[in-house]
Amino acid sequence: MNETIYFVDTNILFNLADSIFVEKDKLMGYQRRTQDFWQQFGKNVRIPSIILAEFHGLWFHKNVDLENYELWYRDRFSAYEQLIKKLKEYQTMIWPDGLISLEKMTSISRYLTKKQMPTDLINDVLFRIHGSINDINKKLNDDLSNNKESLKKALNRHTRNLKSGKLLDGLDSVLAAHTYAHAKENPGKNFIIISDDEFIVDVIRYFAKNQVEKFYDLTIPQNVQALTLYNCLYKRR
Amino acid sequence: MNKENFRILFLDDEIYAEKSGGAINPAIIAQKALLAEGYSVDVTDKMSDVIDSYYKKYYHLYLLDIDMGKVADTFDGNGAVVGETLRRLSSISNVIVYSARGKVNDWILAANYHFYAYVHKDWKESKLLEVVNKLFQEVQENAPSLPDFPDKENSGKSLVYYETCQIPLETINSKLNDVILCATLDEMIEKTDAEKPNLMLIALPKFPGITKIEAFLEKIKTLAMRQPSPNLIIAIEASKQDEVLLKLVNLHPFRLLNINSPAIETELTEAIEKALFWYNDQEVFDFPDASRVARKPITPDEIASMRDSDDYEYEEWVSQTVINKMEPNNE
Repeated sequence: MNETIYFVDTNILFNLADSIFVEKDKLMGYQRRTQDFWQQFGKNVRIPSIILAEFHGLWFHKNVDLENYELWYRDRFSAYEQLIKKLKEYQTMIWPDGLISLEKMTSISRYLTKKQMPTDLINDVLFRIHGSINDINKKLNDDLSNNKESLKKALNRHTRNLKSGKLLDGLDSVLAAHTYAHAKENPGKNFIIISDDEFIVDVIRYFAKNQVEKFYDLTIPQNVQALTLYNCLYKRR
Repeated sequence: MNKENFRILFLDDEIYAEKSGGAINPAIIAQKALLAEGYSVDVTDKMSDVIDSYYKKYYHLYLLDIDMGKVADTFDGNGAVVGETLRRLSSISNVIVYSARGKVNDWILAANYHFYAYVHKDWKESKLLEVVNKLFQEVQENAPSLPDFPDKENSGKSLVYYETCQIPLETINSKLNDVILCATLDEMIEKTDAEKPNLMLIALPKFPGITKIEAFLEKIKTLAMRQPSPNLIIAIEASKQDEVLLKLVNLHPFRLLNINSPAIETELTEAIEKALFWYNDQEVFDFPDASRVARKPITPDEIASMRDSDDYEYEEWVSQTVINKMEPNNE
């Protein structure tokens, strides 16, 4: 059986960081699941260097207290080193860039974003959003639901996404390109991108599900998948 | 950075007393010397103030007395425990002990929590200034940088220098893989390059005699400088307040263990595990428990402000909308 490598997106790293300083009995659902995920798959989790760079950028270069920078930085550093300690305990490592050149990665990334996306993929995304809207509406109608506020927020977001959704925005195309480039170099391994950004999961899953070997001229390796953390933990592939 | 921007918080229970035991108080002398050198020095005689100040002002150095018995305080422990707490809070915290009264256990704690230095008050303020100036230089030259999962190959072998002592050699062999026994410390130094070990362990019943001690310390210094790849553990008789032991503390082995401790086997196991875990990396200690700290270094709101809320909100609603709980995926 081929080895599976889990590439985590920035949001999954944030989930873990978010859970570290919370007492075990006070963990929220996603925090607990994040810890469960790392407990179960940590040995095979690899952090793409681009994801770590983005994480560093957000962690150390956003919302900076410029008036008390040294104090602020020390606290951020302190929290970060506890995150690193946790990752080491889970035996998670950074995925080495190896022989994949930046040029190669950026060319794949550019290619993924410069072409119009297939209509079937857009239909898949719409199908997924409509399905979610239905699920949320059903739940909202259920008198037993005790968290209607967050469900309403999710409903608004999904409804908004129909007209103002996204595909591979920001660093997503780079993460996809990075994964495809390394998957090509390592055909004996399976790569799964774990992200709570459903859109990147939609795109990667579309290519995998339909065994799209070519996106126009770009060869898509068939050993790449994407899952949300929830679906990785519970069988909903 | 100028020295006036290098902020020191000086803890001493006699910091407001001009005299101590009839003589001029060494803490006052040290404070004056630091001020004369140009450093910015705040003082306090309470341990709890140090922890409070940690959250309010950035200090490049915490200068701590050990015995804090003269002042009533809500903090449970002594100056060494304050240092431990600071080191647990952040590895950026530089701690120097300046004390006349510490016990051997405090010395060992200072070594094992990687305090920057332990300066005995008998060594006078000149030694303290020398150490503080060295730290000032290092802080200027090396900005804190992030740990980044360094990956460095090693052979998986452990180098051991052993003299018959309270820990049987068989015990050491049982705790380590692939032991290379070195007949001398010189051999150990040689083999750290040749064998690329993942650990160095020295176990001996007592310090060498007076004629050999300087050479011994010089060799330990050479080995300690190879850290963190590999880390160095020293198990030795550490029950007497001996100046040589304090010198060893200041050579910064990864762990210094008292071979006469009743729990030496457990302590050795823990030290080996940690030394291997932190191979090629700076040790990060467990965050202090809630009783010691006023707040965490980051709040959930701060984390939320850095990230896209859609992502974690997704995790919350999906778990609510899935009606039948799925079985864990154990593939």
